[in-house]
Amino acid sequence: MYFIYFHLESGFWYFMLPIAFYLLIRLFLKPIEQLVKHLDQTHQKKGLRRLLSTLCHTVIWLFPAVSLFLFANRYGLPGLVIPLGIIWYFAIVVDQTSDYLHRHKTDINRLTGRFKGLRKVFFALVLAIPLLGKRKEAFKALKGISIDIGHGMFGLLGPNGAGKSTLMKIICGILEPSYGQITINAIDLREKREELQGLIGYLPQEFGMYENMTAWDFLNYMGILKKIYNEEVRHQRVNYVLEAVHMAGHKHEKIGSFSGGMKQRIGIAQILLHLPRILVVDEPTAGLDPRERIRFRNLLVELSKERIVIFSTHIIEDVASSCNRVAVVKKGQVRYLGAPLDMANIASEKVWNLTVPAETFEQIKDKMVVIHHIMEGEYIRLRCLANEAPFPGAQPVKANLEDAYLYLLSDDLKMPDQM
Amino acid sequence: MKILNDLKLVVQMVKYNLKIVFANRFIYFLIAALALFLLVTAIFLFSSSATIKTADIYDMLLLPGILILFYPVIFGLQNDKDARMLEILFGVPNYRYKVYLLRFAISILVMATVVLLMATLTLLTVIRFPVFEVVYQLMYPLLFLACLAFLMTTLLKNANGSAVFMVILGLFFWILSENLRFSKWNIFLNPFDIPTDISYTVFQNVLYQNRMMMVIGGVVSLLWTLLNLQKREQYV
Repeated sequence: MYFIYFHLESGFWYFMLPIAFYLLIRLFLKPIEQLVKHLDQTHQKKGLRRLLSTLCHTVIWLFPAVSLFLFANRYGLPGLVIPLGIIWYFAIVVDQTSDYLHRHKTDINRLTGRFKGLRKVFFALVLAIPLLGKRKEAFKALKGISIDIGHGMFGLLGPNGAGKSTLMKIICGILEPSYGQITINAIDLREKREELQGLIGYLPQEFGMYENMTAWDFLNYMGILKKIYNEEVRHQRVNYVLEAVHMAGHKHEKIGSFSGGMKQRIGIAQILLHLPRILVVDEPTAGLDPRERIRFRNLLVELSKERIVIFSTHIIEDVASSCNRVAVVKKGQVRYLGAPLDMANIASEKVWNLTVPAETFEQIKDKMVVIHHIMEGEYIRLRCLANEAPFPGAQPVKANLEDAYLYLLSDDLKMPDQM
Repeated sequence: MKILNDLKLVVQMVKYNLKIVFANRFIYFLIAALALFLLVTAIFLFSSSATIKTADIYDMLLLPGILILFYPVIFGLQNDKDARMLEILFGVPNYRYKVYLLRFAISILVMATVVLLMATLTLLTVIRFPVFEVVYQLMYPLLFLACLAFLMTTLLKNANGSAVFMVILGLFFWILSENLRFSKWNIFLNPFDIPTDISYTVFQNVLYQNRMMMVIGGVVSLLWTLLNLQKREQYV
């Protein structure tokens, strides 16, 4: 370092090298900073933590000043040194502030104390700066999921943020799992990712298309991308998939002019092009009107006769009327795996019907999971989930799929051992 | 028969990719490049032809070339993200070559064709100069910048950020243009602007080193980009 730095003849490199060195030093300091963070969280070895923290801060803050002083001492050029120094120190301030905000999980909208308005503006600015301020916090999306999926329709049911889309993206090879294994016919997806993608057709939850293209052009282009190089075969296939999704009559119309349901069908046509053995569709019925939803669901059932169809939803009716098997997912864990018809049994003897005065309802509503309630004069008639009769006179009723789903998602009620 | 099929395939791929490239704001960049070119040509037409040299033509064509490349290279990935096509494309095996490398190559082809047309127009209207040699020399900085911009889009995963980076890079070299004028480190080194105080052989050597660095830098950037594109999870 001495020879490189102090014997450089080129002013340009004398100017650039400290910046590179600084980045390198920050890289070396990273494990030490992590150790300091760990010691801080576990409240261990306070002396060592302080020593390491002081060392890191000294290097971080002092290095630019020393290198800029050396440069100015040799070449002068205050017009170059001062702006660089300002930019450099501004970057350090942003980096350190962002680090502080993330480490302390500071909510900038709930700041208190002096200059809170000014601090909020500054923190918001810091968190908006890419690379230095803006950071993503890692979290565990899926935990210990083990599912064997066979022929037919397989439904993934769960609330928003349960991990359904993440699971689907991992199955399709779009996301790589941190650990664990996905095999298709005993072939590991990690090892043969590109090859196995040829067997899978994936339709994401929110997808778009090139709207300036006609349905035919779009499917023809996707056909080429999916290795259907023979023109005759490709044209036959495009016609076949358009027929399959009942869109042949609109093939020369621009995609931009289609309704949501029509775009959804073109999306399905697109994933059918290479005749995949596995279809993965993420919440395909979301946002469709009831008629379109039923048509679309029937289309998926039709397609599942020859292949595996994995589809996610948070609409229980879709699962009940179309799936052979279902997995209920919550917070990245499978809460139920089996036939939809058997799922209702999970909540048997847990569903109650009762009628209570309005003021009593306010007192007891936190002791149970209310499925629905309706006002009847001074009284409220309600259907609820509870391990025991929540109120004298409560009548046990037969559980349906919706009750079972709510029961599975409920953290307050005791979960069944069955999976 | 197979050759005909392959030919049709290539034509269709070019057609569809051009449709995708032209679908967004590329047309404005193209118009801006043409307007800039016409403006500078008009200025040249009204000035004495004795003062205009090949070096000036090289400088004149550089900026329209950058403008044409700027949008499709930097915003290609972002437009797919905005159109919510990214995840669909990620489901295509080997998409990084079939979609993005191909689209990059088509953008270069469009740029080279337009720059060649502009150079020919300049030849017809302003002065006589070696058209193909100028266009060939222009390809070094333009391809290098295109590869670097492509790399930045995959590193920053944000088209606006990449655009800002490229503008800062341009400004950096513009500020240092006098200091780096005949240096091998100057990415805008003009091969037709031969210095009078350096021997021709030395300048040719500097030029060779400059071109080699840009070729190697471009290739490394492109390979790095393709490697980044394989990590789908970073973009979803």
